[in-house]
Amino acid sequence: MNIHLFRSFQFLLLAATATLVLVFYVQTRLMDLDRHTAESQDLQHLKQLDTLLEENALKGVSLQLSHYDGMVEVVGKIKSLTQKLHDPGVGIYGVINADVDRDLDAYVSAMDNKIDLIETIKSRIAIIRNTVSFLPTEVTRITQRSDFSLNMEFNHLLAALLAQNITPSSLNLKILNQSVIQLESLKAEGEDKKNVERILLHAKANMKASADTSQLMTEFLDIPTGVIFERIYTAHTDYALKRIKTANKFRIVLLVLSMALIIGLGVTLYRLRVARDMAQRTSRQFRDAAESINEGFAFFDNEGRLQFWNKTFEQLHIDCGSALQVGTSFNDFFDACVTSGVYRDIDIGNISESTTMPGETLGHPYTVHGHDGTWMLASDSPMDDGGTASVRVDITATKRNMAELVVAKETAELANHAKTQFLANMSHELRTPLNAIIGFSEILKGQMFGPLGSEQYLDYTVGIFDSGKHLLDVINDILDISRIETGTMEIREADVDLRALCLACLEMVKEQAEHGKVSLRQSLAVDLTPVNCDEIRLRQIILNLLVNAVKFTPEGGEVELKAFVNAAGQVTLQVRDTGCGIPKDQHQKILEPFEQIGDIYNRGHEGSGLGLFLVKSFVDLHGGAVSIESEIDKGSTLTVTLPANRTISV
Amino acid sequence: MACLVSVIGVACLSHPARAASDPWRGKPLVPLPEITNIDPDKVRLGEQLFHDARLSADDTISCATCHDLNNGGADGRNMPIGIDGTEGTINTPTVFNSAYNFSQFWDGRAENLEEQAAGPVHNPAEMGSNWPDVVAKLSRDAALKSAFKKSYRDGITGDNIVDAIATFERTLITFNAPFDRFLKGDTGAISAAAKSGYDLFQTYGCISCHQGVNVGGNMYQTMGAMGDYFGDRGGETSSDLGRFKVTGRERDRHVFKVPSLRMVSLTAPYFHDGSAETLEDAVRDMAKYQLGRDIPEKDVKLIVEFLHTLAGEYRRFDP
Repeated sequence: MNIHLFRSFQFLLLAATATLVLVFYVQTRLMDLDRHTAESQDLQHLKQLDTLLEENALKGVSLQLSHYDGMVEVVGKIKSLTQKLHDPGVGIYGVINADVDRDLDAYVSAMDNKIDLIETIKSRIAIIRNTVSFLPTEVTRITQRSDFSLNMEFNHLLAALLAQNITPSSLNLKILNQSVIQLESLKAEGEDKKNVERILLHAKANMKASADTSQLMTEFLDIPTGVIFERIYTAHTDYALKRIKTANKFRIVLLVLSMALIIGLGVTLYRLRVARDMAQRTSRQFRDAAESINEGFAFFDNEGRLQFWNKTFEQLHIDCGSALQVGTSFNDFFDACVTSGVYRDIDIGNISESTTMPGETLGHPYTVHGHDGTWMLASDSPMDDGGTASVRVDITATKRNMAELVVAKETAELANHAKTQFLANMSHELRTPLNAIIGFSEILKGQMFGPLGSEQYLDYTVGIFDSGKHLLDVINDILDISRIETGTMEIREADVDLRALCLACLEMVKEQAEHGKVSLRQSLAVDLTPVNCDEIRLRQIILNLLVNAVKFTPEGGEVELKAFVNAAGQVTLQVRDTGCGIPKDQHQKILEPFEQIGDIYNRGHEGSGLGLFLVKSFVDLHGGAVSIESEIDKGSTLTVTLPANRTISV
Repeated sequence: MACLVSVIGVACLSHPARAASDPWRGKPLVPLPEITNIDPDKVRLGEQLFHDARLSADDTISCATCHDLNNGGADGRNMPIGIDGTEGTINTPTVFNSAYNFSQFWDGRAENLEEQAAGPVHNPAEMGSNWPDVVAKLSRDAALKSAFKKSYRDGITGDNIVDAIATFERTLITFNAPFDRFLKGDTGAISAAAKSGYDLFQTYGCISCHQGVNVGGNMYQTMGAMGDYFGDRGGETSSDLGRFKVTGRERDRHVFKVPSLRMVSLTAPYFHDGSAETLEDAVRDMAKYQLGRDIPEKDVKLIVEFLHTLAGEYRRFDP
């Protein structure tokens, strides 16, 4: 996410830089150098033409121009150039600043003024030319024929006029004026008068044209086109320099930005390449990992197309045939597996269906049983990007082991049952002859039908009787156990006077206690109520506990029977002894059949080892519990708790 | 930057150098140069328009009506006749070689041929029309419309009409005048009398005004510089004010453009008022009022002889 954000930011930055580069490139184009050069050329040309015009005017005035075509050409060029520069489209008008525009206006009008003046000057020069060329020849013509006095006046005038025309000065003008006045004052007649008038006409025309020309030329040369031009040209150049400077600044920025852009692009390309390499490496590592695992693994892309599977997956689905190829859709693949029998039976656990549709299994683990007996644990997990990761675990061996275990267990159970049945049968078979042995040995012991003779026989008879009795007890216990194990043991519930039962049991073990020099104690609660239970079994419970306690208590020790109702309203029986004690790890064991505490007394005690097992079994049948507290060499306390509902409240 | 300026400076300085290579530099008269750099399509279009009477209000007058190319490029009348027979107030100058006039009209109020061409179209005494009307009329002509489209992006407009006409007029040059051939070295191109006339033309001072490539048409001069022309003629009309009407300056009163003498032998009558019926009259009047002298009749004849050698031939432009 962050990486994506960073990348978009990076691309945005690159795009922004690229845009700036473009903007600054345009900025550097601000200065159209070509156009500026053209404008500068035009300006310079205009300056040249202006100078040329002035030169032409001066040449004209000094009568050195043979014709005005050159001047006309110059004027034409000046007009078109000023017009061009004054045009906002192609010239510099409205481009630089208002001052320049004003100067341009002033320049145009000054030029117009100049051109107007030059036209009149041209006209006047023509008159001067005419008069200057006419007068000498005319004077010559007249003086060849007229009398001497007039000749002098004519020659005077001619000399003064030529002097004034060639080197104009106030003195020469004064002399010329005097000559004119002198000639005017002459009283000529006839042809002479005409000659005088003609000469005077030309002289005056010449003088007027000269005076006009002189004044017009002064005006012409005073027009400050040069000064205005310099201002325009300087402003134009300054403007260009400023523009170039600005453009250069932009060029530096452009350069920096361009470099930034190139570096940015380089970094981005490098990063993309690294990212691609990494992706390839990760992909390769992922493949290696997927190939090396023992589980079958396949991957469907976000369009549900099979893209990858490992060797195990291929082995498990080898019978799917052509469905196992890149691009197969998940549903087609699943269908193919079902059709080919690779997925003959599908068990989706809780949502088991007779026919399983592909896709229903998505996200749920399920087991598959193939036609070749293969078992698979399968799961198709949806991935974040919409793809599916399929895992297949071969559980055929596990399944087989499990089946074998079940058979073994069943066989064991069957064997156990047979054993119990056998014991039950045997017990019956044993009890019948045993009753005869006990019965007859009792008769013999009591010498009912006369003395036995030797005292020795009586002892043997008592031995036979006791042994028979003991054997009967053992057989009865075994019978009980077989009943318990075959589940045929029933309890006959009745209200039992617990106190009386306890006292009876104490009485029954009294002889054995005395024989073993063990003192019996009792602690029966005064509020002891009757209990609802099987009296025979309860008696067996108490008796077994007491016999056990007495049996395992050495001489001088004591055994105490306690009976009370505990705080939870449960009838509780406790037998405490001061015997050898039971190690902690044996507590559970001694409650199992045929178990006695070994080692310490090591079969030093008689007994079948069934006593405590029966106690536990009977207590269990009543829904109660047996607990053992014991300390080695200090003694043991076995507690039987009957459920509260068996307590009968009075 | 300094370098740039100096480069420009050098480039500019080369202009006068080009002028120096002109072989006619310093000579008072110059032969007519060849036509260069002209668009033939525009010439054809201009020629068509030059002869198109639709440029006038009543479709009766074309440029060629007065500027008859078979009649020296003028109408041969004292004053022109416009639409509805209206008489104009100034003599028709020849259209031939007018491209070499430094300005157009007698008073020089038009700086170039384009400006000039629009004049008669709008003059009530001449064509009496206007561009919207003319453009509307011409636009109905599909062939003309497509001809315009070929040369002008924006088709038929007033500016384009005058541009085409002016372009055509730049081809109305009369080449091969005997005098031009003479100037170029063919000494037998003109008669001895004409040669004498040329000498007189110079010595009498005609050349002070009638000079250059067009033998005139490059300057203004006061009509009656050396005599009271209008007083002697009797009365003055507004047409006699000349450039005064353009500039309003006193020094421009009676000032007219010095006309070209190139086609002078074919374009009688003469002067802005058409008052000189013959070339001889014109030469005499000019000598009197402009040069302030009387010229002997034989010299007049010689000068006229010279003037006849100035006319060249017009050949329809065909590149």
